[in-house]
Amino acid sequence: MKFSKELVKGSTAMLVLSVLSGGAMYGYQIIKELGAASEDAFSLNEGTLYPILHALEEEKYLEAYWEESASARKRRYYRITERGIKELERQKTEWKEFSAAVGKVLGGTRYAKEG
Amino acid sequence: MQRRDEFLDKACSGIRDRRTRLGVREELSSHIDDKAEDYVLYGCSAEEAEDKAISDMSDATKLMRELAEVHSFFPLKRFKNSLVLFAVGFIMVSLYIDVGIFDEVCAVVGNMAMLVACFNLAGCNRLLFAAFALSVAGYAAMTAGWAISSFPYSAEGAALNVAVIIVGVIISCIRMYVFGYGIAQFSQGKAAERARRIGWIYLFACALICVTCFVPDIIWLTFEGGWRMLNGYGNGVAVPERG
Repeated sequence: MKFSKELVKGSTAMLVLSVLSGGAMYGYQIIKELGAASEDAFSLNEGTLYPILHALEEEKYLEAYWEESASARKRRYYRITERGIKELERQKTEWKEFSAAVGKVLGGTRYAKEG
Repeated sequence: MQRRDEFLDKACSGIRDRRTRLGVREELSSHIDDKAEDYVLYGCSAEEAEDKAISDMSDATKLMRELAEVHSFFPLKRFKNSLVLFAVGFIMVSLYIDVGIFDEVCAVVGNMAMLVACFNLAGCNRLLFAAFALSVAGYAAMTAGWAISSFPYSAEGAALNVAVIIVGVIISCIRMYVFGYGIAQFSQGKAAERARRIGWIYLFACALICVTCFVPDIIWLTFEGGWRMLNGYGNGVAVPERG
């Protein structure tokens, strides 16, 4: 299932941080990993990943370094920092509380109890 | 390759810092290479693969805006602070309250405030840095003019003073243009129009203060100097007050 852009937009940074918590990756690899982990539900618009990565780097949630591949192609790898891990935990908690609240409203538990 | 260059040039055009721009360009180019390689594995021709890989990237203009926002050297807070500091300096320099050394203190503190504001803005792009350098040169020339004018009066001294002040004014005018243009250039998208307006207002305000400050100075030197020369003063001879 594909999600609407607006729905994905707010959680992209958390998804990227989460993918990178598994190890350092370069941009294209992040997109592929995100696609695979979500069974292609989150297929990011490829170019727009970079402003997100650079903003996270600016916030010191990620650090980047260049590495040359076997095919002599230079790639910029991103690695999550301690600060990034803390931010990911914070966002995960926030997300869980948010989705639980949404679930309660959509599930109609309150109305069900009252009824 | 031409389409790739066009895309990369456009996408990175909003990043002011050259080194960052080249880094981002290389990163995006490497992404296109990786994606194109995958398309080739799926059976596309090299040319077709590259075209598809570029198409899969975001729209170049949209990407340019997003990258420019992230890599802006002009965080709004810094920009606002600099403008406030510059305005304070500008007002202080413009004050002519002849009470003790109040006037002199205001001029020095005001000029320093404007210089610090220029320096703060100078990190934004090369033009603003040039504006800062020109500010220093302009103030140095004008200070030299004031220093010369404090010596005992001489015809050569007066001519030199006028020349130095004119040089100072020319440097200041160039600085104003460069500064205004620099401000106009720093921003992309919606903020660009506002920045351009601020640049023009600044340019107009500086031109106004320049005319009100220096034109009377030059007129005074020309007429007062002429009067003194006609009356036989000069060559280091102390001049009595006219009256």
